[in-house]
Amino acid sequence: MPSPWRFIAESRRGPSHEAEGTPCQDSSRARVLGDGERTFLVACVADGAGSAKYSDTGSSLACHAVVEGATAFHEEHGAFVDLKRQDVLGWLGAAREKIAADAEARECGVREYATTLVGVIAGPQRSFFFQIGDGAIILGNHGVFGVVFWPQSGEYANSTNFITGKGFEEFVEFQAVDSGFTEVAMLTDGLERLALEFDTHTAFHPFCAPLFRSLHNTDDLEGLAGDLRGFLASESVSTRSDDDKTLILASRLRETAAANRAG
Amino acid sequence: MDQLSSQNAFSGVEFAENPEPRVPCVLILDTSTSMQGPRIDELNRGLQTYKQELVDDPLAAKRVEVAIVTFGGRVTRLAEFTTAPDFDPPKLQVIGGTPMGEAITVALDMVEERKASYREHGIAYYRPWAFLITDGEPNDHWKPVVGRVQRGEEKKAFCFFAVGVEGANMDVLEEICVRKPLWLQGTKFAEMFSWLSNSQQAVSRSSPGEEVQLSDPTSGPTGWAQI
Repeated sequence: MPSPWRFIAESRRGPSHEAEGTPCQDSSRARVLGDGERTFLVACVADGAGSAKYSDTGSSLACHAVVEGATAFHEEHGAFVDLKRQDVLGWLGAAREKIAADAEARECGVREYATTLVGVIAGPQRSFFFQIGDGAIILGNHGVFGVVFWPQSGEYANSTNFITGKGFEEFVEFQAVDSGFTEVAMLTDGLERLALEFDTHTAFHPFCAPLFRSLHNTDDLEGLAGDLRGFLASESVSTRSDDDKTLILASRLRETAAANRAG
Repeated sequence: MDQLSSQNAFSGVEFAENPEPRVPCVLILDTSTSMQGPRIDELNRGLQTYKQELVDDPLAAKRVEVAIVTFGGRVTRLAEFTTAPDFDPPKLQVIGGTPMGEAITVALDMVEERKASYREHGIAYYRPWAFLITDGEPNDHWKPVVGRVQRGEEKKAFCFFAVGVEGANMDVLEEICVRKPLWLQGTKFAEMFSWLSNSQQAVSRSSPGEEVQLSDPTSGPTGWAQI
């Protein structure tokens, strides 16, 4: 039976990073675990801080550590039913250790690796969400969309929380829900002002609906990923924010559709 | 759109039309009689430059907000916070003495009001700027503002800059300002506002975790200041 999940993930450098030739500081990673009735989507996006020298490495190490941590948890337990906030903190702790090792080799502080982290583990009956810093997870069920955590920001627009910070644990939000979802979108700060409504703290429907419709209906995921790359590079999107932009779009095929495809 | 005062019932409209995060900057300008002549003319020209450079940057045009308080004879809230496209650079006239202390108080009050307004309407914002320009010394009760500026800088409530035009009492500016006050070279107001605009363009583009390094205003062909 094929995986009920399909997803695309793309990052695009912000205009000034492109002009300066500096790397994209966003990272993302996604993987499907298990099969059949017990299939889980594990996905995360991370936004490396603009002023931190090696935040591209920081965001990449963070995504890697979370996906590997989740995979190990799944291998051990066969499912995610009992996943706790403490387990997620453990994965982030592993990310911090990797970062500390890299920082030692480069003889610099871990603040040069400052990164946010937004994560999802979505199963058929139970799902988990966690986040530190800005960015967002948008969930959908049959065309109705909601935001899990509002992007974390300090008083000023250019301040947020990072996994490399002191006492980072207290900023890690964690939510477990007894439900599955048909649509999951994850995005970094650079897309917040397109995908979210800031006055009502909701998802921006005209942004979400067409993207998920395309994902549901396509037979050509690679072609759609190309379209997403084009969208992120388009002038209307790139001039909205100078920041790097990352989007993961995932959808779970409805059981009947999955059965039809399988048949 | 016509300018709307913050007391207006429709004050939220500007935020609905433009929900971008804001970089507020209040200019505190000396318009006492000592500024007469080329000084005030160049300052007026500098304000035009400031507007133009902000408007020419699509992101800064939506994000940087300018307000003006003048002190010449009395203190006037000459322009309320507005983005560059709606900012109409005034033609400043000189008159009277130098009530600098009161002007600073009024300007910092405006910053607090503006922040409250952003919060009320769910608008994100960057650390506000207050930018004082004078060629004299206060003739009012200015000592109380020293503590307010210092507390504000400490709490990162705003950044306070002071620029002295020839004749300014630098000792007073140094007492008020936590950052080193700068001397303006001659009447290089246009260069100064160009620097201000560039710095705020950089801030308005900055992302979380990014501290913007301001370029050195005392060196190079675009320099306008000396220490």
